[in-house]
Amino acid sequence: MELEDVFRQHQRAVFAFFLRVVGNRSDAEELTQETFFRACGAALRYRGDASISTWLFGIARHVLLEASRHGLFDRTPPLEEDDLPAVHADHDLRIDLELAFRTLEVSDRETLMLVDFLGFGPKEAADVMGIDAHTFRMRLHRARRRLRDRMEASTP
Amino acid sequence: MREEPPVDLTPLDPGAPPELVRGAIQRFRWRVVLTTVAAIVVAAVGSAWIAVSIVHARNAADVNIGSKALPAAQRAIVVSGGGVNCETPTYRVAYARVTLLQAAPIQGGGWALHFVVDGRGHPVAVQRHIPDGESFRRSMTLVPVGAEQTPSQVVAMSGATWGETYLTVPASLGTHFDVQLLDTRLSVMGEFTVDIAAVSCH
Repeated sequence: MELEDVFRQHQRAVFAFFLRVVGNRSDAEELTQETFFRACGAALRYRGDASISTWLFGIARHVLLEASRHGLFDRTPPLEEDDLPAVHADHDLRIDLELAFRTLEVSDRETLMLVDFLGFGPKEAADVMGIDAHTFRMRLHRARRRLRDRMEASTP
Repeated sequence: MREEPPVDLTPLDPGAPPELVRGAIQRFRWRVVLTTVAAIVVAAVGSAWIAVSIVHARNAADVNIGSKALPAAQRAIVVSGGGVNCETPTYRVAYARVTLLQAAPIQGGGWALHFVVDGRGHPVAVQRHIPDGESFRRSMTLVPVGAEQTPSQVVAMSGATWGETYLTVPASLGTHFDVQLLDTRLSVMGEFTVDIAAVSCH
């Protein structure tokens, strides 16, 4: 299978990860493209030790860390109409989830996106984030609780 | 501690993104092309610079060796810009005529003299053959009297009837000294006196 096809299979997931963590569509597009650009160079060194998605999100996370060092999160991400979920019937619930999710810390958003949106297991997600599985489980537990608390707080 | 159950985040799916992979791959290809071109240019410029440096170094070495290869007398005359004499006296020695063309002081003492030796029909250099088939060339020779350690052979083709030579005269002989002329058999043909003061420009 061509490299381009492999990347295209993961394009939606990588873009969604960046969009929900960064909260801004143009930044998310830029970071997604940067991830695939770097993956082209890194593809020669890929030995198949990890799954392609784990490898790819490892690169994505490096791209994110670098962007954050360059002040990506210094500005408050604006809420854009295009970024709002479009597939669920319950519009209010979607807005609540979106707003609650945006109030979380970046590390909580990353953690939740990897497991509860992208479907990584805690071990794989820990590999992506470069931390041990136990620490990741703790982080995941707290992130889920914080998200639930904020959603409950925003519900009248 | 009870583990917090998963949160359903599927409502956060933004849908299909715009085409981003192709742009990334094209950017990567351009980067590869530019890096390759840059590497080739750097390698070419580097190689050219190294080659030029080597040629320069060799030329410098050649010039250096060339200048050192000049006999001290010849070098002194070149440095003096053609000698300090205004007269070019001719001395008769047996059948030959010896003309002093240039005289110049040597740095550190002594004189450099440029002579032309005319055999007047007689060869000033000959090729000598020895029984085993080898041969060697022998020329007329000038020797400063009192400084026999600095003889100077006439430079000429074998059979030529005239040639030139540069003679070094040590400072110990002063400015007035005798010079012997030896024939191609190294027999003394005679001698003449050189007076530097008499030939110098006043």
